Amino acid sequence: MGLSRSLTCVLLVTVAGLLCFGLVMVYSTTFAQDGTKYFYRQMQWMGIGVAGMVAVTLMPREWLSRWSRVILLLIVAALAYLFLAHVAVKLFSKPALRFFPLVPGRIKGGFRWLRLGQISIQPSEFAKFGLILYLATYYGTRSRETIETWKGGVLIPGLASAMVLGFIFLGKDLSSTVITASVVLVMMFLAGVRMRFLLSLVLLGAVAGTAAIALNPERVTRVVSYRHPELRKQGDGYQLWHSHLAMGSGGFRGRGVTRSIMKRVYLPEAHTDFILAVLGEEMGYLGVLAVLGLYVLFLVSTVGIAHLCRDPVDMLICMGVGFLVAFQALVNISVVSGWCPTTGLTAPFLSYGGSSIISILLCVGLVFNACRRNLAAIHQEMLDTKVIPTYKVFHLARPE
Amino acid sequence: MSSASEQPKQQPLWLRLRAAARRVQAPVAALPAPVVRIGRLLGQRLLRFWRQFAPDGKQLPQNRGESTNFAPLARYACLAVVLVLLFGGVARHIYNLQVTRHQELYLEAQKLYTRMAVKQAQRGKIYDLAGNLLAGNIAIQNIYAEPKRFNKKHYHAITKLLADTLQLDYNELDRRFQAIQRHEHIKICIKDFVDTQAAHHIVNAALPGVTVECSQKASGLFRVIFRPTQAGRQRQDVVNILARILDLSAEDIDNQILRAFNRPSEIVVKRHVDYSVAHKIKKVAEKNQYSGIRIEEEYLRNYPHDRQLANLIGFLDNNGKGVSGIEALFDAHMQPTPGKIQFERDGSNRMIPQSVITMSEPENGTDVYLTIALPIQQIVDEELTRLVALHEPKRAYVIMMNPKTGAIMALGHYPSFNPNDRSTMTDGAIIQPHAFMMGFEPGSIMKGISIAAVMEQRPIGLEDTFYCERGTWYYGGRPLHDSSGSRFENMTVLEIVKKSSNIGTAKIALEIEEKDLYQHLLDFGFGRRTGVGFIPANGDPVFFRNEAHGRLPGLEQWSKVSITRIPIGQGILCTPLQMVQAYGALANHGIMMQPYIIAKTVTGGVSRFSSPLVKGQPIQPETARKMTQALKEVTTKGGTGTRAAVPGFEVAGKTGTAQKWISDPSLKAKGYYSHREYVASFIGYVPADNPEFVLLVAVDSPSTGAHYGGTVAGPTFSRVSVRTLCFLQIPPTTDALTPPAMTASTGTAATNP
Repeated sequence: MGLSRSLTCVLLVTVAGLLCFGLVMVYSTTFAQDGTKYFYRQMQWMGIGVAGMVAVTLMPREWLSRWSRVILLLIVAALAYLFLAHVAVKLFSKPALRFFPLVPGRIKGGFRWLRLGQISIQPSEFAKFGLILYLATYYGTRSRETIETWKGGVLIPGLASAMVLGFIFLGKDLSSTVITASVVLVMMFLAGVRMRFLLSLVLLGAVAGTAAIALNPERVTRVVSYRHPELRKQGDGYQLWHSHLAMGSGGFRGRGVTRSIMKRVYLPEAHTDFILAVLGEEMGYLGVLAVLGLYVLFLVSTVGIAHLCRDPVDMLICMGVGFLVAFQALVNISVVSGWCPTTGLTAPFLSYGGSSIISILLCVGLVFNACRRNLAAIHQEMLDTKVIPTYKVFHLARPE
Repeated sequence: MSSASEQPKQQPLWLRLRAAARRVQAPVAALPAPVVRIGRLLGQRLLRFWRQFAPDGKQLPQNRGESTNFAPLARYACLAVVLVLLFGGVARHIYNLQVTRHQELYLEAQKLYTRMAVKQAQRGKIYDLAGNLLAGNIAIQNIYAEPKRFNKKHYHAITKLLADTLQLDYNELDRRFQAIQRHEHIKICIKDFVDTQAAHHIVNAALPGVTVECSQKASGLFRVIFRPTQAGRQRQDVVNILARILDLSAEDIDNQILRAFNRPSEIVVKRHVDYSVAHKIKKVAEKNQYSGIRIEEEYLRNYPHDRQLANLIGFLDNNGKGVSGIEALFDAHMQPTPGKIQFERDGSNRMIPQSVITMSEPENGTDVYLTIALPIQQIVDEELTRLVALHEPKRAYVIMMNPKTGAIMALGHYPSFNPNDRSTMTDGAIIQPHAFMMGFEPGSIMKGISIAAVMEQRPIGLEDTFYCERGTWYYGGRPLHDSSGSRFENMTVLEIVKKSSNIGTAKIALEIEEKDLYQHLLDFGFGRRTGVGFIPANGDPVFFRNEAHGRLPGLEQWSKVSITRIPIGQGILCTPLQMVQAYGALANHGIMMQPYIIAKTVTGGVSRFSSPLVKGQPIQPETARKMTQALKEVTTKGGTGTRAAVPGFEVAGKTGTAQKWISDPSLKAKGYYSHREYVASFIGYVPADNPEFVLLVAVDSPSTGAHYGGTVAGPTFSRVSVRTLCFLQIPPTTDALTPPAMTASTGTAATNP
C-alpha cells in the first residue's frame, strides 16, 4: 500500500512538474510576440485537461471499458469526416467547405482540426487515448488462447486500430501515425500476441512507413539530411539548425529564463514542437536533463503501478500510457536535438496545444483511475488475508 | 443500427428499439425482395462484426498469482529499460550538442542575431557671442521601402499608409513599388569589353531587353546590358542566344539574373520627413506587423538666420563637409564622431530593446562661438540692405571691430547667399567670406594711416601748413589732382585731413623717406594676412587659409611717384579687414590688436577661449591722439564726412572715394583709373577718445546716386553707429544730442547739460 501510494504521488508530482515547465516555457516563448494570450489559453487548456483527468480518475473503469468501442468509433467518424472534407476540397474547390460544418479548412498543411465554436479539436490526438483504452479493454478481458489466435489477437484489434491509423495518415500526419502505430504494436506485444504475427505486422508497418517516406521527396531529404543541418541552413535544415543554435547557445546552465533570442521569430514552432529547444537555450543542459528525468520518472512510475495492478486492463492501460508519453517525449527531444529526422510532434505536457495536452491528461487520468481502484483492492486484500502490520508485530514483541 | 448496438445488454431498450424499427418496416417491405434480403444480410453481418470488438465480459481472476496475463510486466519492464537507455543516449547526444559544442554554436548564433549599428552624432554648431544659434542640425527622417519584403496581404494597406501620411500619389507609389516587385529596375551587365564584331552581332540580332553601350572602362570596346523583364517570355531564348554569341554559359547568365532578382532593392519613398509623420508610420507599421518599411534618422544642417552671416559661416557640401567660411575652417573639429552600438535583433529584423550595448558613445563635433553679436549684426545687415537698395553697388562691406580686443563684432557682406537654398549659390565668388579675400584700392581712407605714419617719424604738428598747389601738382612728371573743383592753397594738417587733400597728403608723405613709409605701412599690417580666426590662449591658432594678403609693393617696385600715390591709397591693395585692423591701432592708443572672429570653442563640455593678442605698436600713443584729433574734423562742418556724424558722440573717421583701376588687356597701358566706377568708403571709430568700435563701410561701384564716400557710406556709418551705441548703452559724450526744441523751452537745461 505504501508503495502504491508513493508511486501515485510520484506520478502526480511528475505530471505537475512537467505541466509547470510547460506553462513557464509557453509563457516565455510567446510573450515577446503575442503577450499573455497563449499563456492564458494554455492555462485554460490545462484546466480543462485536469478537470477531464479528475473525471476519468473518478469514473468506474468498467463503464469506460464498455464505452471504449463507441469512443473509438466517434474518433474514427471525426477523422473520416475531416478526410471527406479534404477530399471534397481537393475535388471541387474551397467553397465546398460550406457543406462541412465544423471544418475550418486547411491548417498547417492538413485537415486535422475540428472547430467547435471557440475551441479547435484535433481528433488524432484523442485517438491515442481512445486506442489505449480500447486495446487495453480488449486484450485485458480476453483469455490467453483468444489472444494467441490470429483472428482474436491480431485481426480484430488490428482492424479497429487500422481504421484510426489510416485516417490519421490520410490527414497528412505521418509522425502522429507512427507514434500511434507504435503504441498499438507495443500494446499487442505486451498483451501477448504471438511474435510471428507481431513481426509480420512490424514488417508491414516498416514497408508502409518506408513507402510513405520514399514517395514524398520532402520527407526523403528530411531523413537524409537531419544529421548536418548546417549544410542546409536556409532550406530543409532551417528549423533544425536554429534549434541547434538555440540549444547550443544555452550551454550547461542556460541564458536564463525568458532570455532566449532564438524564440524571437528565428525558430519556427518555438512554443509547440520545438519548445524543448527554447528550454535548452534558457535553462541549459540542466533544464533539459530535469525534463528528461521527469519523463523517465513517469515511465518508471507507470512500471511500478502496472506491477501493482490486479486487473490486466489496468495493467495494460498503465503500460500503454507510460509508453506513449515516454516514446513521444523521446521522439520529440530526438527531433529537437537532431538525433532523429525532423517530424512534427509535440512534447507531452510541455508544448502549447489544447488537444495534445487534454488528450495526454485524459490518459494520465486512466492511470490514476487504475491507481485509485487498485489502492482500494490492495487494501481489501490486506484485510482479507489478515496480514499483521509490522508496527503491530513490533508492539507485540516489545513486552518480552 | 449503431444506436441499437450502443446498449446491447439492455433488453427492454433493445426491444423497444426493435419495435420502433418494425414500425418503419412498412416502407421497407415495399422494396423488392432481393434488396431487402441483401440489406438484412448486410445488417446482420455488420452487427456480428461490431460484436466481435466487444469486450467479452468474462471476469478474469483478480489474484495476480492466478492471472493468465502475467507476461506483460516482464515485457514491459524490458521495454522500459530500452526506453530509458534511449533516453540516456539522447541525453548524451544533447550533452554533446549543448556543452561540448556550446562555444561553436554560441558564436554561430551570435553571428545570426548580433548586429552593430552606428549612432549618429551631431556636427558642431555655430553660435554667436551670446549663444544664439547660427548653424544647427535638424533631425529629419528618411523613409525607405523595400517592396519585395511587403507582406502580400498588406501590400495595399502599406502603400495606402505611405501615400496618405506622406501626401504622395497612391497610383504613382503603387507603380514604383510594382516596378520593383516585377524587377523592372534590374539591368545586368552581362559582359564588359566586348569587341566590335560581337557587338554588331548582338545589335543585328535585335534581342528584346538587350542594349549595347560603349564600355566605360575601355574605349573602342562595348558592354552588353540586359534588362530581363523587358524580354518577357523570350527571356530564356535571349539568354541562350547571348550565351552563344558572347561565349558564356547560359547557366551562369541565369544565375546572374537570379542573383540580381534576389538582391534587396530598397527605394527612397520620401526624404526629410517630420518626426511626427515618421513616428505615425512607425506606429501603424508595428501594430499591423508591416514589413519592408525602414525609417532612418539623419541630421540636416540648417542655418536659422538664412542669409545673415552666410558668407562668414559658409555651408556644407552634400557629404557633410564644410565648403567655405567657418564650416570649412573648423571642419575637422566640427565633424562628429558617430557612436557604435551593438544590439540583438529578432527574426523579423527588429531590435530587441534590452539587448542594446553601447560600444562607444557618439560624440558631437566642436561647437564654435563667434565674436559676432547677433543684435549688432542685425543692425548692420538692416543698414547694409538699405544702402544696397539706395545705391545698388556691386559689392559692399560693413565691418565692425572692437579696437581694444580685436574681436570682430559684426560683419556685413553684399552680395550674399542663402545657405539653406542651393539655388542661391551659383556664383563661386560670393559664397566665400569675401571681406577677407577681396583686395581693393582704399583711396582716401589710407590718408589717416599714412599721415599717422609720417607723424610717427617726424614731429609734425597738426597746425603745420602745406601748400596745396591750387588743385593740380606735377610731381615726378605726373599730375596729381585734388578732388574736382578744389583749389586749396595753404592748409594745415587738420584741414588736409578734413578736406581730404591728395596733394597735401602727398606733400606730408614726402617729409619722410620711402623706406620709412614702407616700414610703417608694414607695421600697420598691410601686405600681410591679418590672420583672422581663432587665437586660443594656448595651442595653435586657426585662421582662414584663403585670406588675401593685399598688395603693398616692395620698395624695389616703387616708382618715383609711388611715395605720393601710396599714401593717398593708390597703387596699394588691401582687404577691408586690413584697413579696420590698421585703424584699430589709431583707435587703441597706437596698439594694434590681432583681429579674431571666434570667441571660444566647446568640445564635449571643455571650452577653449580666444585671448586678445597684441599684434604690434605701429605708432606711439601721442601720435594716435594727434591723428584722432585730426580725424575728428572730418565729420564736423565743412569736412568730407559730415553725413557720417553721430549725434551726441565725437567721431574720428575718414572718407574715401577711390577710382577703380580698370585693367584692360586691349589697351597698350596696363589699365586706367575709371571715371565711372568708384569705391566709396568711410571708416571711423566712436566715441573718438574712448572708442567702442571701429567701423568700416565700403561700397564697391555704387551705381545710382552719388559715388563719394561721405555721401554713400557716411549715412550708413552714422546710422549703424547710432543704433549700436544705443544698443551698447553708451552715454553720449557731447551735448549735441540735446534736441533743439528743448533748448528753446528750457534754456538752463540746454546750456548746462
